[in-house]
This record gives sequence, C-alpha cells and structure tokens, in this order.
Amino acid sequence: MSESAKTSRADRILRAIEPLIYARRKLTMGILLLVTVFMAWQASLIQRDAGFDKSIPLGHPYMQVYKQYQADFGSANKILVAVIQKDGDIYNEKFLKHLKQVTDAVFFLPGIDRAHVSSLFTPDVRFIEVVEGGFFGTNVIPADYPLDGPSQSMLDKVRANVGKGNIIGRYVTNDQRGAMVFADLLDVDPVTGEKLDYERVAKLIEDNVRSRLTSPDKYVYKAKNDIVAGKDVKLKADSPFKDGDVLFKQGDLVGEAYVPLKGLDKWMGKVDGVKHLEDGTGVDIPVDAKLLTVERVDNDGYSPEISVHVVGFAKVIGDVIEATQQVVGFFVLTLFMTFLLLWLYIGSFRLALLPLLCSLTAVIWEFGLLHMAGFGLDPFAILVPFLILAVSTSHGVQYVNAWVGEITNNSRNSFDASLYTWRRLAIYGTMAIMTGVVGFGTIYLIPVGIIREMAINASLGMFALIITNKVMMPIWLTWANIGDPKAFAAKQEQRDSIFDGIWRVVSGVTQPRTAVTILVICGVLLGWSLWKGKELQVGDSQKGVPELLPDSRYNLDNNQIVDNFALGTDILSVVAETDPDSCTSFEVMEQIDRLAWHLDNTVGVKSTISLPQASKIVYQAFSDGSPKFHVLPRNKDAMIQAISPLPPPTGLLNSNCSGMPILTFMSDHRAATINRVVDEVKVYNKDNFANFFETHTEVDAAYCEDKNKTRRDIGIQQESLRQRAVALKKKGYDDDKVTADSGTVALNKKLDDDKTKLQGLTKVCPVNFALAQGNVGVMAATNEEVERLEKQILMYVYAAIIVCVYISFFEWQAIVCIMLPLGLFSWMAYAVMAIFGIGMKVATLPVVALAVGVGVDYGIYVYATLSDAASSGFTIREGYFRTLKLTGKAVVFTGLTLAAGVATWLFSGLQFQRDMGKLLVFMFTANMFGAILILPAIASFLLKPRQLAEGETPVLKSRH
Amino acid sequence: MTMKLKLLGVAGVALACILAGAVVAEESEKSPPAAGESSGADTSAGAPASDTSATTGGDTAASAPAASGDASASGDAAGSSDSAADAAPAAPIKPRPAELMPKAAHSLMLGLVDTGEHLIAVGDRGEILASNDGKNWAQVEVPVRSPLTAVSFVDANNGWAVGHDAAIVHTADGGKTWQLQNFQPELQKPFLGVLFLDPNHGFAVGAYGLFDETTDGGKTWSEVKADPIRGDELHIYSISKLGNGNLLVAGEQGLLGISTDTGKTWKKLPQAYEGTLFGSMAVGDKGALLCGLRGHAYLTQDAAGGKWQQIETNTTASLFGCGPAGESQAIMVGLNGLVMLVDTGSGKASVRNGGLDGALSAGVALKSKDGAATEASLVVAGEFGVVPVPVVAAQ
Repeated sequence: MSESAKTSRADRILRAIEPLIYARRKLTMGILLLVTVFMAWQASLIQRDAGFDKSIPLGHPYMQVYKQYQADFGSANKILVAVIQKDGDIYNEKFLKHLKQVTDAVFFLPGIDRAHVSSLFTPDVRFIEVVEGGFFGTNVIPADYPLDGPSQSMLDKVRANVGKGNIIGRYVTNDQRGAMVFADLLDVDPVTGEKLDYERVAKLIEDNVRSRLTSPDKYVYKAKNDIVAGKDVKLKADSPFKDGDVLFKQGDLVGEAYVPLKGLDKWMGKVDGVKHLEDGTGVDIPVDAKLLTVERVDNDGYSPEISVHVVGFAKVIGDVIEATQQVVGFFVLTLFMTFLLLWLYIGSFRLALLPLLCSLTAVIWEFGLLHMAGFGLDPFAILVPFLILAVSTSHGVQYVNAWVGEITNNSRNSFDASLYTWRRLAIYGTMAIMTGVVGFGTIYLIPVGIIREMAINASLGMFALIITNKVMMPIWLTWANIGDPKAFAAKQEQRDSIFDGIWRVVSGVTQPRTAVTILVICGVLLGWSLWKGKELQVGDSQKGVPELLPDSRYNLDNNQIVDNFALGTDILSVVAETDPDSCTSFEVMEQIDRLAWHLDNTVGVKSTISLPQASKIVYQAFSDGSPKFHVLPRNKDAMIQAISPLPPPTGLLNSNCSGMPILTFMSDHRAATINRVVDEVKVYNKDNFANFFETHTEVDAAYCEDKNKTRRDIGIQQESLRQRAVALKKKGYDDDKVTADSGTVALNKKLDDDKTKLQGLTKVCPVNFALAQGNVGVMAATNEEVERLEKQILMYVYAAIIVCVYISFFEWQAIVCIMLPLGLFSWMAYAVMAIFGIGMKVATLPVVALAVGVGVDYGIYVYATLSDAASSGFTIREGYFRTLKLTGKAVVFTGLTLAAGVATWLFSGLQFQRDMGKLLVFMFTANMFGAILILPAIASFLLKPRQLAEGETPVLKSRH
Repeated sequence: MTMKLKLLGVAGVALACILAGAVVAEESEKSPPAAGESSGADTSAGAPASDTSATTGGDTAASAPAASGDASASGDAAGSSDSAADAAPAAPIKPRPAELMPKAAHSLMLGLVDTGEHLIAVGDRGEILASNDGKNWAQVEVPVRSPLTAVSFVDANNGWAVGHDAAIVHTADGGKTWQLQNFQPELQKPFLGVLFLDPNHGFAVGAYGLFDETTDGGKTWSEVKADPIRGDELHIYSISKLGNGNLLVAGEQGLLGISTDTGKTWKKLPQAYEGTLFGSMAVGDKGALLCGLRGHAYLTQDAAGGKWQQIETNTTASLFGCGPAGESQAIMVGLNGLVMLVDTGSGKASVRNGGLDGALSAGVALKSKDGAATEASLVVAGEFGVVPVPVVAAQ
C-alpha cells in the first residue's frame, strides 16, 4: 500500500464528513442546541437508583447458591443495630425498654424481611438448661416480662437466662453493656415488585432508630394551611383517601422527626406524615416540607447514656448519597480550577470557556442518554461524569491549542483555522475517544449490575464527547472572534516563546544517548513494577466498608460492633447440600462437622456455627450435660432427638433439611483471608468427594456431579421464576396472569422436570459444600470475577487501542511508540496500587482500564505531529521541538490540569473517590511524561526524516 | 495464654449460641425431626414481641435419656419422609486416622492423665496430645478419629485411650505412637472410662452398660459378666481402683458397683445419690470420692460400707470429673469452668474458679520436682481444650 493511497483514504473519509459540519454551520449548531436542551430535560428526570442485587455478580456460581438459599438462610443484605450503654450492664428497665423500642422500630422499617428480625425480644432467641431428668428450654426474656417496672428478680432472671443461652457475643456485647438487633432487607418487594428505596430506609434508620434515642431534640411538623389531597399531596393508588379530602387542617400535627431537615431539604424535602384514622391505625402520607411549620421540642426519649451503632448495605448507601453532595462540590471545584488554568494558558477568557462548555454539554448528554436508556444514577457511579469531564477537557484543550497554532503559525482566519485543525485532528481525536469508548465498554464484561451500568453510562458519555468535541467545538471556533489576527498571533508567539528554552531541552530526549538512557530507566521501572505489582491485592483490605473513610461514622460504628461483639460483621456461609431429611444421618452430619472444624483451624476464621455443632450441644444436654456426649451420635434415633429442638428458624437448616449452612465468622475480609477460607472449602469438598467413593462403591463421581448440577439448575430456575414474577408484577400483572405467562410456564416445566430428575437420583452422594452465602460470600464472588476478568479487560482495551492507533496512522511504528509507554504505566499503576494499599476491585478496575484510554490521546497527538514533522523533512530533534510547541505543551498542560483537578479528590469524604483520585493523579501525570519523554525517545529510533531535496527548507504540514 | 483462652471462649459462645436461635417449644408433643416443619416455626419468629408468641408451649421439659420413648416417636415422624439415606446398603465404616490440626489443643478434650513423664490428653476426633508443662501441647498421630473420652496409663510407657465407636487405642512408648485395638462403630456405643491393673489386665466401661475386659494387653476384649451392674443398661461413666485393690464403677442413676476380686465378680452397692455419677477416685485405703450431677459429690473412707458423706459444694453445676491432687486433696471439675479442690480427709471443698468457660471433663495436679502437688499446677481438660488453671486468689 503506497503512502498516497493511505492518505487519500483518510482524505476521502474527511471529505465526506466535512460538509456535515462546515456546510450549514448554523443549522447543525441549531439542531445540536435543540438536542442539548432535550437532553438537559431528560437529564433532569434522572433518578438515583441504588440496589443490593445489582451490586453482586448474580451470574457467579457462588451467587447462584446465595440466591437459591436466600429464602432459607436470609440475605447478605442485613442491618445490624447495636444499642450500647455507656456504663453498667443491660439488665435494667430503661435499657430493655429501649431495646424493645429499637426492635420494633427496625421491624417496621420499609423493606424489612419480618421473618428475619432477631433480638433478645424476638421469640427465636432461646436457651436450653439441663435439669435432672432432661432439659428445659424457654425464651431468654420470659413471655411475662413487663416492660414497665420489671421486678429485680425478673431482671436477674433475664441476666441468668442470657448466660445460660450462651448468646453473649452475638445478641449481647461481650461485656453485657449492649445488645444487638439483626434484620434482613428485601431488595424488591415480593408482592408489588417495587424496588426498595434505600435512601429512605437509611433516613428512617437515622431518624426513627438512632436519633430517637440519641438526639436531645425532636422536631414537630404542623400544617401551615389545610393540606388537601390531590392538590398538596399526591395520593398512592391504594390510599383510603380521595382527591379533595382535607388530610390535615391548619395547625394539625403532621409528623415528628428526630433529625432536622438540612440544606435544600428544608424546601425540597418531604416529611413522613402520618394521618391517624378513627380505628387507631395510621396512614403514611409524605408531605412537602415547605407546607409545614417546624417546632423544636425536647425529645423525651433522649438517652444520653446510650449509643446506637448501625451497619448494613442500606446505611452505606445512605452515607454515600449524603456524601454525593460533597462530590458535586468537587465537581464544581475541578471545573473551576480547570477553567482558571485554561484561562491562564490560552490567555483568553472566551476561548478558555469553550472546552469547558463542551465538557459540560457532554455530561448533560451523558445523563440525558442514560435516562433515555432507562437507567438511573447509581451512587457508586457518581464519578463517571468526572471522567467524562476530564477526557473532554483533554481533547478540548488540544483542539483549541491546535486552532491557535493554525492562526499564529499559518496566519489563517478563525474559519480556516478550525477547518484545518479539524482535518488534522478529527481522525486522531475520534480514534482516541473511541479507545475510551472501547475501554469503558470492556468493563461491561464484569457481570455486576452496577459495573455494567457504569460501562453503559461512560460509553454514552464518550459518545456524547465525539459530538461535542468534534462537531460543536469546531463550529464554535469558526465563530470565535480573535480581533486582530496579527496582534493575536504576536501575543501567542510571545507567550509561547517563554517555554522555548524548556522545549529545547526536552527535545534532547531524541538524542541517541539520552534516548537509550530513558529506555533503560523504563526497563528498570517495568521490572520494579512487575515485582511490586505482585503485591497487589484483589478486593478490599481495610476494616468496614471501603467506600467510606476509615474514620467515617459508619466505619466507626462497624468497629464498635466488631470490638464489642465476639462474632463481628464478616460472615461467609457455606451451604452443605444433600438429600432431603439427611440431617438425621450421622455420615452426613459428620462430613459437615469436619468441614466446620477445618474452617475453625483456618487462619482468619474466628469461629463457626453449624447444625452438627448445635446438635452436639443438644445431645450433650440429653446426656446429663456430660461433655463426653458432646458428639454426634451414630444412632439415628438419637440424632433425630439431637436436632429436634433446632427447627429451620434457627437458620441452621432449610425446611426439608437438604441444605445446612456453616456460618463462618471471619476476622477480616482481606482478599488473602477470603481466598484462604474459600480454598479450604474447595479442597475439603474435593477430598471429601473422593473419600466418599472409597467406601461407597454403589455410586461414582459422574453420578454425583450430575446430581449436584441438577440441584443447582433447580435453584437457578427458581430464581429466574422469582425474577420473572417480579418483573411481570411491576408491569401490573396479578398472580393469575403471572402464572399464565408463557415464560413462567416454560420455566415451571423445566423446573418440574429437574425436580423429577433429582428425585429419581436416589443414591446417596457425598455432601456437596456449596459456596457461598453471607457478605463475605458476595465479596468472594466479586473478587473472583474481578480477578478472572481483569487481565482480559486490559487485553481487550489494548487490542482496541492497537486497532484505533493503526487506523489513525496505518503504520506499525505508531503502535510501538504509543503502546510501550502505555503498557509500562499500566504495570506501574499496579505497583502504585500496591504501595497505596488500594485493592483491585469493582471501584478501581474501571480506572485502570480507563486511564489507559486517557493516556492514549496524549500519545496519539504527540505522535501525529512528530511523524508529520519527520515526513516533512525535519530532523527528529527539530521535529520534536516543533511538536512540543504545537501539541506537546497542550499535553503537558492537560496532564497537569487534570492531575490537579483529581488531586482535590484526595480530600473527599468517600474513600473510593480518594483511591480513584490517587490512581488518576498518577495515571494523568505518568502518561503525560510517557508521551513527552518516552514516546519521542522510542520514535527517534523508528522514525526516519524524509530526505530533503537540495536546498529545500522543511515546512511542517499534515500528512492528510 | 489468657488471650488464647478468650478466643476459645468466643468459639464456644458461637457454638453454644445456636441454642439462642432454637425454638424448643412444642417438641415434646410433636417431636418432628426438624424436617418439613417450617411453617409453624416461621410464624412464631415473625413477630418481634415475645409476649405474643411462644406463650403456651414456651416452657418445655424433655426427658432423658436419649434412647428412650421420645426418640422412637421422632423416628416414626422421620419414617414418613425417609429418603435415599435409608435405602442405601450400609457401607462398611472404615477407621480413618485422626487429622492433625493446629487448634487441636483448643477443641473438646475429655481425658487427661499424668504418666509420670508427660501429660497426655485425649478428646474429640481421635485427638491425643502430649505436654510436659500443661501449657504447650503437641498432637500425635492416632489411627482413629472417633472422639476419645478417657485415658489410663499403667506405667510410663503403656497406656490406653477409649472412646466413641467403642474405639480403643494403645501406646507402648509413652504416648508417641498409638495402635488401634478395637473399633466397633456399628455397636453405636461409646466407652467412657478405662482402667488397667497391669500391662495385660484392663477394663473399659461405657454407655448402655458397655463393660469389656482384656487379659492380653488389649489384643482381645470380651464382655464382663456383671449382671447386677449391666442389667439396666445404664451408662457406666467411670472405673477406679481403690487403695486396697478393690474396683469401683459409677454411673447413671447413682449406679455404684464394686469388685473385690479384681473384676471376676461384681456386686451393686446401695445408691449414694439417685442422679448420675460422672467420676470416682480412690481415697485412702478403702475410701472413695464420687462426683456427679448438679454439684453432687460424696466422700467415704469405706466404699464397701456404703456410708457416704455429701460434700458441701455450694453449687448446682454438674461435676464431670474428679481425680487426685496430691496426698490429701482431690480436684473436681465441672460445668461453666468450675474447678474445686476437696480435702479428702474432712471433705471440705473450695472453689478454684480460674475464669474458664465450658464444661470441664478432667483435671490433674502436676507434681513439682520434689514430688509435692501445688495448687498452682492444676491442668484441666474440657469443651474448650486443655489448659492450666489460671492462678487467681481463691474465693
């Protein structure tokens, strides 16, 4: 393929698109503005959308197990509320009353799975005592316990029962100063199919659960004027009222709260009003705060001696959302800083504004498109707009810079300068953005809902970028009034020459000796990165949740709970799967018990709870309490007796005893710890499987593998059915229509087939230990997905970049020059993460993938100009000096500006934003240096300047 | 050590707190094998208020022992839903070696003995541990993983440990290596006590009247003919040799038996107490000390005479083990980490509560170099492992 053929192809493409942009600029711009207005409207409709299920990799085998047994053993979506008294033990009237109050308040939160609320006051908390001739079991808090004025002997009885129940460390703090309330949340209301509003749950926890005890103030909301249904308040479909009803008369009490409305919420927020009916029940009616008066009164339930600590996914969401207001602040700050620096750089207020306007427009389009695609904004994806902004600024500055260059160097007017700039940069720029689109797109490979939304979100943003930066920006520039071109050029020339000295020095990197030195240093850095990068952890390393700062309220609460309760908050649960009613079999129970013991002996495991362990206690109790009978009985009748006091609500077995979890309480959730425990389970399961066939020759591995698979298929189909029902109900289907739905019927048919098949597989197989439930089970699955896909994603990103770079230049030298520095810094990013203790996880993987995309445009712009210079006949050093003056300074400027912008993230209230900030600062600056120092060093060996004709002076011109 | 203990305590709490989640209600009437009975229990867990549910059936008492009528009712209930588990032919049960695990010394430890050279402890999952100081323990290899309940040495080298699945293992080298001498899982009965009179002649006692004897160092075992003692199929928890060579067994329902002819014939002694006796030991020439359910302990200077003096223990915690602690003292251990010392002359008991958790099963007093036992050298074995009793001021 000849040189001319290549350029002409690029030419043909450009010529085809050019008229679309430049022919009828006003019309094009008008359409774009209209679309922008439409997008802004769409963007304004966007809703926050948080969910637990979309934060987990539902397709992962662990999560299939998790879903299969969620109804039996509860969810990982838990709320833990610890009520702790500053001094003295819990056995006093006031504390127990508070505990009951908190239990009730939690019970009535929206989205609570009421079958899974547990505290000292719930009837599932019991104890067993050995007496002569048998044993005796009852509630820890006696049924006749009076909340008001319990006698001392009653309180003593509770204290004694707590001791006998051996629940200290789980329901009661180790030092008996506090107690715990456990609850499960349902992501989707199984009846209505409605998604749970986590923000509201978090708010109610803060208000009704925590502040009710810990706030000295109470806020009483009364109606300013009559509040009329339909006019002031929109009624729910099932409301007993109708439009026009006066719900609250002027001055009526509407609602009470313990947390005051803050900031904008004073006007925009809603108050949870309650309209009391004659029969004593209340109807929840949210009322706009602006319709109400607020009065601060003393909270008579205020108990300064008590502290309340809450952990759980819902609370994390609440806290992250609270911090997002601050994130918006950072957004504005970054924008403003970028603008100031741009202004300083270009020296023109209006020209500095342009890239920013384009960036903002891109973000508006991004949100608009996101809403049109049917998505909401996930609190964990709030950083995506930042990235769009950063990439957009980088391209915008290049564009404006090149445009100024056309004016000053080639004495063109605004229009021509824009056109020539467009011809020179359109392909490179678009390709660079395309690498970004692909980079984000590949993240879609990670099968976690939130990540996929993030990938879609960012890809839409990048698409918007192409429009704003390659269409809107050029048109705008044609209209830019630069006043007297000569004066403008002179001014720019003068500004530019300040740095000439520096560029002269920097251009020295193309000298062979310096170039070799740089490449050697790069080699050393690469070696170091490969070595240090090995320390990179997958997953989280800190205590508590990684999204929030270690000293955030949430993580302090978490520490309180971990410190005061023996069992902590990190739970991995392994489900032992076997035939129905198998918990009466010694052989089955022994296999489970032995795994529990293996786990107990694994570093990082604090303790385990499982049915065999519990049944040993019962068997011992039946045997006069003798520890010599703290064993699993081989006798089947004795085993039946030993498990009979342990029904499914204990969470130790499902309803037909075909699934029994081993709850594993872990000391932390570092990836190394999780891997160790997970590996132990896998190895044990494998050995147990193999050992079984030594003595059970009637079955073989294939038979049992098939049986296990059939069991899992049943779970998967049940989950599909559940999801289908929820989706259909959301569409307004009733139960009958859901059952009649063809998809439901097909799934049911398959489910029945598999059930029949499983029933036919009657031979006993070894117990299958299925991973995993519990919050650590979710982490294990996520880590495995990230680990599995991380290299793959980078590979795809690189492949995409190689393709895009090749399309841009049609020469292999470009790929080598641009990819080598990028590759080096990707590896270095791992090392940097290892040094800062940042784990490779859902929040950071996109950054690593993306930063490659951000870096590539620096390289493309620098290489483009440098190769143009070489083909124009400049020596490499001189050509690079010119490159630096033309595009290099823009690269340096954007690199530094963006780094400075994201550096502000280091002060964010969100830990994952801080982590991303650190990484991005590194990526932006490193790639900048890569493009400025390493790329030309490599190019000096690969690019050969065109031989000049006798007496010809080189003139820099684009190869296109 | 105390740190470790705390951790162990945690594990125990975790285990035991299961019971917190247990709903014992209604069991005595329906006795479901926990299978297929979720609905009723679910609803009772549904409401947060303790006063609305678990009212009538809330307080229940089930009766022991295990294999009595209650269990057969449960068996019937399970019968309806019998699955593949029963259909399969009974596979031969193969003894598998005990697994060596880092936390073995912190698991259920039931038997403890001072061989004169080492301390040897036996317990859950066929674990046998050896120690020189009672603090540091090393697990040795054992060819069986059935829970071992008791251990006895006849000299520094020859010892036997017995346990569930009627397992008996023997060492001839002071506890370094062990050989399996008996393993009968199909019997479904555990041995609970062992005593050897010399390297050849020994006895093992166990649940449901299990009572075996060997005269060839354990190579072969045969049932002891002792109808007065075995007739009721009660658990025999302990066997001990008195000062004068008489043999004493003690067990369930106050079972007491004596042999004055090294085990050839046995006769039942009158009850000292109607509850279970978990342990017995020799006192003086003819006397004995017994320990049992709910703080009951008895002392006599003449075991055959049947005049027992109840020791004032001031506790209702069951005493699961008792053994000599020096010349004139005995150590008794039991529920909730209870450790007591008893003057075997006067019968005066004092609590040595070292802040331990769980049910203790056995205790020894280490002899110091000059041969005298000291209070500070007690070592106990129980639910959370084998540990020295922390030294705290006597209460």
